[in-house]
Amino acid sequence: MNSGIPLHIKQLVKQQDDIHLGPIDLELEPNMTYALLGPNSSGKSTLLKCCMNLMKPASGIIEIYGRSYPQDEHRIKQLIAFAPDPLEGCELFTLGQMGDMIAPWYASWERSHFLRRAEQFKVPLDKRYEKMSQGERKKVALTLALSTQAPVLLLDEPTNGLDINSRNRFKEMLVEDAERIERTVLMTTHAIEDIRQFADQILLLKNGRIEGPLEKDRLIQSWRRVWLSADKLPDLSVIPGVVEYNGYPYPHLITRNWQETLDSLNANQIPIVRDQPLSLDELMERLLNE
Amino acid sequence: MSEIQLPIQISEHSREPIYHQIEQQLISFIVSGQLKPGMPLPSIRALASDLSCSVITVNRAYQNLEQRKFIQTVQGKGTFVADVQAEEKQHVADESLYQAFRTAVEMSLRLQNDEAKTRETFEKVLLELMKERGTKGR
Repeated sequence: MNSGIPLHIKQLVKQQDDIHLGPIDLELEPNMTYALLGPNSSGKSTLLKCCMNLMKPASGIIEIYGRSYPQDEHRIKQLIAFAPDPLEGCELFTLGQMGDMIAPWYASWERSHFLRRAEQFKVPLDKRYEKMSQGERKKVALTLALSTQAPVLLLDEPTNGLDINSRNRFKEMLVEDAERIERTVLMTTHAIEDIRQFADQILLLKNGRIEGPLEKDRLIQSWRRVWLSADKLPDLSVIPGVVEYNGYPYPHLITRNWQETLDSLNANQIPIVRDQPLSLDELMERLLNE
Repeated sequence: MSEIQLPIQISEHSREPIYHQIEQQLISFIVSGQLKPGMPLPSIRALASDLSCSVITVNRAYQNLEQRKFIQTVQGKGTFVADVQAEEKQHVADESLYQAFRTAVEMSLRLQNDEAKTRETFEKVLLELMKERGTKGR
């Protein structure tokens, strides 16, 4: 059905208040889940809004399956869905009404899926949005976005405020959908658990530029903390991959390229006392601060 | 959690790449007959979700297993355990025996034992186990 690149951003530049984005180049592969990380006000939400044409970039091109704004806007709307954080302008409506409003935009919308998701999330169809808690509002945004069955999903902090049950249901929904439809997910998050459970690839938004995609499992395997035997340690700054070294009291180093470091330590006959991966929190912090 | 639960356990602490851990554990289930020919395996996304790893990793493991003919993917239906040839099973069994001996010998050498001491220990263990089996009957 849809061939090509789900989302292709070329040389995007956008200024909004104190946010300066760009130039950004990004190409997403089909069927992958990307976690977009970056500090507060780094422009993650702004970038998602540009992809939805809710904000206009100063320059650059955004293509969804090869189609671009503004000429293909109508077609693009069927290919991409967005769960903003927060979902605004819906105060007076119920989830049932919002479903009815969105349904006609998407050819792939199925009412049965929509009802089932609302039920799985235990979110009422007839309660006004303004009366809802933060968690319920999040579930509304997710129910609507998932029910479009659009091949590209942009989720702004999708698990923010979700209770444990809903979080698990959300995870199951993504897995179930992946068996039926091609779907590429781009989610922003600050939660390490989201990265662990959902992400295949990591994108870092730093100083307005995108770094990545970085393959999550490859990152976890290549960054490592290594303790060395203290007897005779040469200058560790010459060991490839080493980003940090602490000599006292237990000499250890941190490498961003475990294989290279290991080979070099072996070649120099430096005994390794112990080695272990970095925790995901530490790894992400290091990547963001690098 | 996916509907098909496999008792796969991956360790990030291991130096072994995750795709390799998945591969090895699936092979051992298949060779030992716990997973029988024709049994369905979880989808790539489902297994990745269960193991909290990426689809890239699971895909890599599945591709390697498919290449070695342990599993097969039927377009539109899913991935299934293949009918593994007896000689392939034997090959895998031989390989794991070889690795186990290798680990033991490596340990002996690390403990500064010489060849004679290593062989002597091996003979002793072998004799001991044969005797135990002899008294209990096979």
